[in-house]
Amino acid sequence: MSGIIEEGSRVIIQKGTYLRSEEVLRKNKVSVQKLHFYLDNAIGCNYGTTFKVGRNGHLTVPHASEEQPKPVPTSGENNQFLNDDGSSQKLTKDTIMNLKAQGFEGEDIIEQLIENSETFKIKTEFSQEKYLNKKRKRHISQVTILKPTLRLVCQMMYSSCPSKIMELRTDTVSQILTMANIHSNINVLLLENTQSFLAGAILHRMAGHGNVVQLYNGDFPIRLSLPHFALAEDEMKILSGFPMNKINILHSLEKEDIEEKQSEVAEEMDSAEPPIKKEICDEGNTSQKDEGSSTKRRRKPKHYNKPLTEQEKHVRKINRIEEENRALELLKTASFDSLIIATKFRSKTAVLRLIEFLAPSRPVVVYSPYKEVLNECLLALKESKSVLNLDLTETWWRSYQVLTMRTHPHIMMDGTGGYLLTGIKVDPGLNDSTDNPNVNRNPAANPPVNPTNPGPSTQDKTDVKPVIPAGTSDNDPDPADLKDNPGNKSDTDHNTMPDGDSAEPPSKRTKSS
Amino acid sequence: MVLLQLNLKPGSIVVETGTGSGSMSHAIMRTIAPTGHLFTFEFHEQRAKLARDEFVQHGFGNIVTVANQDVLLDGFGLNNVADAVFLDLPSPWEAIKFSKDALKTSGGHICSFSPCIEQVQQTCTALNEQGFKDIRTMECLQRRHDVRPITLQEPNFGKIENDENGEVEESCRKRVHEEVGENNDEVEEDTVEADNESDEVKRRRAAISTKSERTVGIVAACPMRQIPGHTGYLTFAVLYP
Repeated sequence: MSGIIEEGSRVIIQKGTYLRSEEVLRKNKVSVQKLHFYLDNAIGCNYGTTFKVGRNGHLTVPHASEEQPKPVPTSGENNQFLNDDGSSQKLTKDTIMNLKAQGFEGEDIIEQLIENSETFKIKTEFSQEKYLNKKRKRHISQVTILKPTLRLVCQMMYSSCPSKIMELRTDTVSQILTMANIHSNINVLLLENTQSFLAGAILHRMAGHGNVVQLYNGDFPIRLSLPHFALAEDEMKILSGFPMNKINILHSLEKEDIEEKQSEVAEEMDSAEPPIKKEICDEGNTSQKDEGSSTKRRRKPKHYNKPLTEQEKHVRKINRIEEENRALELLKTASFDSLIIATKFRSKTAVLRLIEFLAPSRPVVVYSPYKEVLNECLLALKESKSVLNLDLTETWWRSYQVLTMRTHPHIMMDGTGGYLLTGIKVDPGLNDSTDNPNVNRNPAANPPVNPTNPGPSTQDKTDVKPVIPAGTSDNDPDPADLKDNPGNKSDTDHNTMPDGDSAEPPSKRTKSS
Repeated sequence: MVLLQLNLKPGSIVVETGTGSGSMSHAIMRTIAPTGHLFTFEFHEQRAKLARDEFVQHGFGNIVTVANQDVLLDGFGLNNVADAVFLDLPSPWEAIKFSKDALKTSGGHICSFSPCIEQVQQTCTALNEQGFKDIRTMECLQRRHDVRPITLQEPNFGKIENDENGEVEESCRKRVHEEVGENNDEVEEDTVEADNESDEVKRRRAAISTKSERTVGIVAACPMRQIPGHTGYLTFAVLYP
């Protein structure tokens, strides 16, 4: 990991609180809010450098003295004599524009503003500082170039296009990664509609070891968010897409023969456009999957909208088959270490179907911006008796202004970060032999663990009905069957939720992390 | 939250102090395994030993170094090696200088966890002085929700006199019962098996019909009543190269 900005790398450009992800390319104009500039001069500088945007669109590193705020002459005690009538500033918009046209910049303009403000001198020191910060934000054209971190990508996505990532807030992402026990060398099953934003966060934590199977709807997985993470090629290669509509015919599927397909493709290409096939194939191979993060120079700006060439299409197809083959193999073993669902489809149906692919004692996490979606998931899973430690949680997240004598929470905060349903998969068949172990551990909790005994409860009306054992060890219960079984009516489950703190070793989950 | 904000991933080198119970250490180690390393400091000798044994027992022995020393006196003794530093100390501001030394020259992230706002204040001042950027302070709490099916009675505003409306009301009642479905046996029994009933039951039914003629079952969730309202403030900052 180098601290130097290199050509071709992904960076995050920060202007005030605004973030934008860009690829560093020469002679490529980027626009950040109202600023337009070239990143050429940033190449070779350290990450975290703040640049001044020149009038010609070139970046320069400002001298230390240049942007130092000038000392403030005097200040007042309080706001007793301040009137909020918009008349204190004598400089008009036109004069300011004129100043700018004459080549005045940043601090100069602010100095003019102060001089021409009747009230600035009688403002308190604190309010002067606030005033200056506000004006600086508007008049100083500076950008900072940062190395993409998971935090910055989350922040950028959430602030710029929350609807594309299902309103997944940063703290919720962190909770998902922790609750789903994401680390290297595991197999993750993922169903998401966040344009691979969640996939990117997971890949970041796995560093190229293990597997992520991403179920998708339609012809191909949408991976628009993935480039922002600046993942390396071998960090990406563990991601395999698998079409959702093949889940039910899994066992009749065989791996597709890639070689056969390849020769087929080669033939087609031979007939279509004779020369250049092998090279392009190889190059396309690297740039196709991670659309941009390590792209070669040949990619020009505005390349996005260009239709793919025939060769690229074929390479893409081969890649997809490779991914699908890998995914198929994993799905057939049905022993994933983690299941994460953040989908716009009905989560209840999804989780009941996909829980089958999870190995026992492994975590499942379902995200939804709506509590109601998870309510029905929770009840269905409870009924299926295949998951325990079921918890419906949300996180509350508040930022603070920390300044001497002025520390307080920020005035605006985010009202919701969505909801998470978490649990640990168990094999209901195996629990038949144990004698309701959870009740011993925590008398107040009554997780639907043991199918032969619904367990005592504070609110139950003791109408314990005969219950048919749900499923056997090699056969997961079909939730539909259970629903029809009168013994499993959910009104025996009026009681409290299983306690979240009971059964895990400390490594499984850490609170507040 | 800490793991994400510190940008931890497999291979990260992390410094932590104090170790405490080791729960944070476990979360860190899980994330940075198998190629990263955690240097964790604990000034309490017994706790340091306990943590060390536990880490080995959990198979993390080769990616963690537990040191029994007081960081505020001795520093970390680490130079330019770490990607991230996590401070959980009574006076974190005194360890900021050492943290800066421990972070890589190519930059790194720092997090300080403190329960009191005064600690945060001093820590932020120290971070500023040492040239840390992008200083953020936040709180993050988890709220659990209790989910259960509940039954609601429709308010009974009495019969509507008009004949036409009477029909509407009837169909309305039917629909409600369908909704109630499996969640509520009692109500169904009361209202559906209306034919062969004794006088006693009839009288009871009459009473019910004014009280709870229509009920609806829904699944409801509400936050738990008693939850922790404060754990601590998290302050994050970045050191750029």
